[in-house]
Amino acid sequence: MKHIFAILLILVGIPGMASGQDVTAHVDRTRMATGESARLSVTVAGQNAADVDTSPIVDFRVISQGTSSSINIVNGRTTSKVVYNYTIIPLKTGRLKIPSLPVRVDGIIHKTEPIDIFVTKQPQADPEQSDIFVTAEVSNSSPYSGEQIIYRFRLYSAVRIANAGFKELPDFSGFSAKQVEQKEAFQTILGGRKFIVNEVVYVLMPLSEGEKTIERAILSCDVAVRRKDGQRDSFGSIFNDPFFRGMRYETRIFQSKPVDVSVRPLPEPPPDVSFTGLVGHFQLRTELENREMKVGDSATLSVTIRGVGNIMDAGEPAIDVPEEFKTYQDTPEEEITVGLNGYQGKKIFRKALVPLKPGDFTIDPVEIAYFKIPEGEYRILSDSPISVHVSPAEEKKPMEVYSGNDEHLPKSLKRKVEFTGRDILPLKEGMDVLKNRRPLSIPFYAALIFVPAFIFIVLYAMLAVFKKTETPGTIMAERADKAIRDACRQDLPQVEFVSRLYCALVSSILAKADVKGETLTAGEVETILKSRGYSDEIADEACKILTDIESARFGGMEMDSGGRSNLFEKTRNIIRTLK
Amino acid sequence: MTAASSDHIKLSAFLITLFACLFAIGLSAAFADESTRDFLNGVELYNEGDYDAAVQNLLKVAESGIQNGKLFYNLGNAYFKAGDIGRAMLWYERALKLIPNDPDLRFNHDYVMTRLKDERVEKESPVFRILFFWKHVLSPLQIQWAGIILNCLFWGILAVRLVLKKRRILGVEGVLALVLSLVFILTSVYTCYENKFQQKAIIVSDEVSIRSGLSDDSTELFVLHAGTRVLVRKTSKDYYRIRFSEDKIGWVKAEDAEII
Repeated sequence: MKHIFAILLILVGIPGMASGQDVTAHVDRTRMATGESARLSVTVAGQNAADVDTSPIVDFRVISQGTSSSINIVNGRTTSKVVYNYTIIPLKTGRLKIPSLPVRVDGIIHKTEPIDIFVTKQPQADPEQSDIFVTAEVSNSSPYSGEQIIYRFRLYSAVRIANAGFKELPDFSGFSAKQVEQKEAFQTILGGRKFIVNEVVYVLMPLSEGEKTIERAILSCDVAVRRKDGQRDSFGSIFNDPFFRGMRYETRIFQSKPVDVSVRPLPEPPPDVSFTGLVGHFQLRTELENREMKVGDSATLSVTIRGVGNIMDAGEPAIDVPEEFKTYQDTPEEEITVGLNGYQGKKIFRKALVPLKPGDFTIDPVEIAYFKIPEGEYRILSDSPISVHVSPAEEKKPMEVYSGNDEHLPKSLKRKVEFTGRDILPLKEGMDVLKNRRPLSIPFYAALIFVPAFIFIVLYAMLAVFKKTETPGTIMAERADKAIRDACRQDLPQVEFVSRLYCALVSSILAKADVKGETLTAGEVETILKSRGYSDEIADEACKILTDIESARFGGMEMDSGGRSNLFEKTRNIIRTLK
Repeated sequence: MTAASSDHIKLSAFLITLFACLFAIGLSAAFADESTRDFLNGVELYNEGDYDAAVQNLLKVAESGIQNGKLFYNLGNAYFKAGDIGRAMLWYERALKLIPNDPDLRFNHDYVMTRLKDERVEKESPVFRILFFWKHVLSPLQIQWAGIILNCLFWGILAVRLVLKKRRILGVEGVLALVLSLVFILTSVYTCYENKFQQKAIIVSDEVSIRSGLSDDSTELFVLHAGTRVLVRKTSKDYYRIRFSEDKIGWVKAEDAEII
């Protein structure tokens, strides 16, 4: 019985042991030297996403290299795995440990086995013996405060490489850093071997004095290595090219050594020197646009500081202009570039000078003090004084009149009007300043826009309602009124005039019959009017007027103004009678 | 309840309403007097050369709710004389929105522009300025009223033609009134849209770092100086996401820039 229980326990326990081996960690080497790197792989069986925690690793710098996954089908059985790759770089020597790493898969935490790695001190081998190596150096390891230095990171390679890129760059703490866009790549011979050198350059400016360390830079690249014997590419038949044959790429990590920089304070400037903060090498030039001027003319005085160093910090130098000149400051102009020599360029300060009095004047030389590198001493830059002769302004000449045929016309005396002084215009002091000119609010504005449309719609609806109540009688009566009004016009041709009268009379009679229509005969007129209770005299009068109108309309006889007026009066009277 | 007591309640209600109205009128008059006093003090202090105090007085008037281009112009002048070029530009830009065609304002604004350190990259196309000239000639209030009057005219013409039973209800004059009213109404609508969704701001601090994120530790992308106008794309807690030009975008602290 005990044996059966033990066998059952083993059978039940097997799956648990299998799941415990689902997550493994291994390294490609367990012995290495400082400065070298190894590959750490954490393999998780299955296709589920895992969260690998590498924070327990304290003896190595860990750089993630991404993941890879694979699926195998053997004898119809499918297995898959995901491999999390890391590059590890030892931070010290001795027997170092990669501790058990927690890996979370589907909410369950698995643990990898710890791994021991022996790290020895790097033998001081000549780097030139290596195929690839990196260096980092600064142009001056003991600069003065404010002095720019050049940081150069170089990658030397004697073999083919690809995909070179920084994994970690120094943060240059304690410096302001600016990368030089102009990248350098050149060839050099070291120890009889030809190396291709790729260079990345930064211009650094110390932000404070004291000891500083520029941390190491870490670079990763794919290096072409020869395949071991028998390790042939399965696609060898396809890539049967001598260029690819027997070579493969291997990702390698390289790191430069930290660089120590000791930033020295600037020495105390001499008492008579007013230091401007410029450190480097500079030149000064002072120019006046015009040395012969007239009162009221304007000329530009420009002071140009040019050189290499912290030129961007150059402040405006003191320019001592005689009191007889009015001055107007202009915005400084600067052209500064960053190159392999650091910051260099020029800064120009301009002033417009306007003489107020005639005479001979001298503008004292402009002086600036700077700290010269590499001499390490204060220097004063100065230019020669500038002499200016100011003559009185020209009297206004009396206006001369030239005739159009003058052959020797003088050149135009007109000049472009220039500002002689600049200032803003005064305040607006009227009390209308206190009136609120705020735009209307959106709802109120929308209401004002829609109200007329609404009124129009109401009007339209009302007209539509009233239109429905109109009878043929009212319509014909309206038509009669309109026609008689139109016939009043004196400028109307005779044809139109009689046509209007006809329309007026016929419409007024049809209105009585409460029917619509355009024409009536005399008989119809008589019948309608009598049936509506009008007397025989009125019916006869209406028939007579209708006949007169038709005669004038169709007879073609020209009517004089008296005849026109008579016919109009008769028609209007009968229409009034019929109302 | 008797008729007498009902009358008494009505009389009380009437008296309370009357007193409330008188109190409101008195209060508004008091505010008006205070604004007038602040304005006159501001003008006097400006003329005496005490520009900081003039700014404070004129600001009080603006904070009382008065929106007037001339008041904003005066504030721009006071700030400029006080040496605050950023806020001077801010108030000139605010004034330009209300009185875009004021010659004094244009002159002062152009002059202050010459004193700025950053060159304005994005300038308005002269073609647009000519095509939509009324936007630069009339104030927003004038454009609104022009739209309202032309709209009334359009519907009036339609109504008259309807009553007169004209065959074509939309005559030439109707079409003309419709087009003009649409131009002004749509301009007003676009101005509202611009104010709501295309806000602009002015850098008010002397020198400001525009950063890649919403913290002081974020990378400095570029630097702007006082008076520079930027487009506000997004507002976040204490930060604006701004656009200076096509390729210069970043975050600036809200305290370093003010919306126009």
